Amino acid sequence: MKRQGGLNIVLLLVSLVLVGVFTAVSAAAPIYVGGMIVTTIIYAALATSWNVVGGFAGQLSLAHAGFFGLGAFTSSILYVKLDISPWIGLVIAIIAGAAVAFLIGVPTFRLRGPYYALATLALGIILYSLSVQLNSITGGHAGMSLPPTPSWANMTFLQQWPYALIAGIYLLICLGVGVWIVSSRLGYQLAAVREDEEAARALGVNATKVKLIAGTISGALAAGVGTIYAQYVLFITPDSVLGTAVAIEIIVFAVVGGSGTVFGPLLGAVLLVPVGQVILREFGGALPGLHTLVYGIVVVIVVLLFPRGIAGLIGAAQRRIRGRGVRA
Amino acid sequence: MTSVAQVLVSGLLIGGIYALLALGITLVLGVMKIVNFAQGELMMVGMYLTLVLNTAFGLHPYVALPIVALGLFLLGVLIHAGLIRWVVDRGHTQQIVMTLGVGIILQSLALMLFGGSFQTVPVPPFLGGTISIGPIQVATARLAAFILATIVTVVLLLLLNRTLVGRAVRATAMDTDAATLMGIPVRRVYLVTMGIGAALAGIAGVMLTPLYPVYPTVGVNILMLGFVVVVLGGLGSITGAFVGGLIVGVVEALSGLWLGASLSQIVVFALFLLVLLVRPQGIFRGDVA
Repeated sequence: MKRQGGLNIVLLLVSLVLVGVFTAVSAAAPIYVGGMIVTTIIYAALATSWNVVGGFAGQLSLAHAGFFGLGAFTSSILYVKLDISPWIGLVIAIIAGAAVAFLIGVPTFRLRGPYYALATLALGIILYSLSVQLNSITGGHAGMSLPPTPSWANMTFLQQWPYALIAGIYLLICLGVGVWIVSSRLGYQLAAVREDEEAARALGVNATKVKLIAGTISGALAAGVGTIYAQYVLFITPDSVLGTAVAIEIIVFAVVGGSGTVFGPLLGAVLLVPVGQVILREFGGALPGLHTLVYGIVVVIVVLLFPRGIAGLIGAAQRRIRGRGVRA
Repeated sequence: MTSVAQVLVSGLLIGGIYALLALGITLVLGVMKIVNFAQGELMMVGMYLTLVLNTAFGLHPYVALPIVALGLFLLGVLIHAGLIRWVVDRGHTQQIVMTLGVGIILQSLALMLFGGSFQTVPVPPFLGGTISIGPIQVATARLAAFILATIVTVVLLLLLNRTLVGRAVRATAMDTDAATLMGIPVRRVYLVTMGIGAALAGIAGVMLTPLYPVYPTVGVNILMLGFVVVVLGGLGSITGAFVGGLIVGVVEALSGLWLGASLSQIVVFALFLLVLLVRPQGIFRGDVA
């Protein structure tokens, strides 16, 4: 286990270097490539945040588009209507995400079984329809545009690289939280609950409490990504940030990469987001739905053949090379 | 007062469709312990199939019903044999992700084949009509959905309680290992259960088609209602799914009348959370769970 912790620190440092490299690349590369880098980082951060509750705690959340959109709309409304800086909006978005995630966790985490998944599906749909109905402040289906006045104070830029940098730092924070959780007491308790909740409770783990902590952290982190996304695209609609499609994409990236490992979701996003973007760019007009079809097929294959995702596959290969067998 | 009674009745009747959808979810959940997140998409497939049979062959939706039900049964069997059966023994998360994956695939295929626009079946004459019962107008399509839901529920209950196959299904739901030891072909039971679950989604789709437009993501919102019904009625309870469907239909209709249609979804959600807080086991104990 000690070795695993060391590996995670090394991977965190590698991620730090990569964020630096990709920020530099996004400054020099054509705008399309830069955009792909920023989008990938944003989805990676989102999948990493999902993983805290979906992977570490083993509680499938379908509300992460909800938290993401909540964050996006919270900071955008504060910015557009009240002229509050997106940086402050980011903090408020994180608090809002934590609050909603906590509230949905309270009635569901006491129960065993699939209740959390069911309730989060409903929460996502409710947040979506709220954002459509409150059209005086959210703009309804048409969405809202953010003022394109570039400055650091406004978290608005003309180039791609500052976005890559900000989203990259946020991703590192999410990964850091992940590394901290898996190496802490909380991480062991979550793993115990995930593998066998009854046994964990019998051993004195307060399962409800640790799940609630994981759910709250996870929702808070996802909401923060929403603010960064809103500042990046400067135009958000209920469909672009709160749609069920977004909720499912997050899960696909995390599961394909390997949910439950700190770096799996990042890996999944890095592998799948660019593929999806290219398909959307090349075939989006003629064959809408092709990129989600690919995601669907990939996730089904991964669940069937590599239930621990690609990260799990790498881990198994590693153990085999070290000659310790794959029984673990 | 008339309008309240009117809304009450039409909510009760539309609840029949929620019941049909929930029956499929609760059956699969009760027997296989799998939450089928693709149930909404299976219903969507049923709706498109009804639409195609209607536009291509001029088949009346209710005439198309057996064909759609059979088609969806086969689709369910296929999905089970190819995909779901491999995750039956795994945790909830893996099972749900698998059914979500199936859902995305079906939804994407629908989008590629039919486009994203709303489509409706040209309503055949006697379906668009209404029947007057005293001061209350009843839409025939809703009434038909309600009657069919009642019949399906009764048939399902009889099937489960009075036949050998039903006994095998209930035994499997109770204890898979014991059922296997008793010589029950558990795998075949699962296969048939998934098939029936999908067929029920198809029937719900047929009954919804004259009332509601078809589009690739139509299943998503209705799936949420289906889950609310299942939790309300009790996971794995056939009677619960039926009663729960009617309750959700009425709650949705009345809150729509008093608070506006846009808020009714939120009221249903509040009801869901309330059930989780107060009575998470639902109203009824499972017949099959």
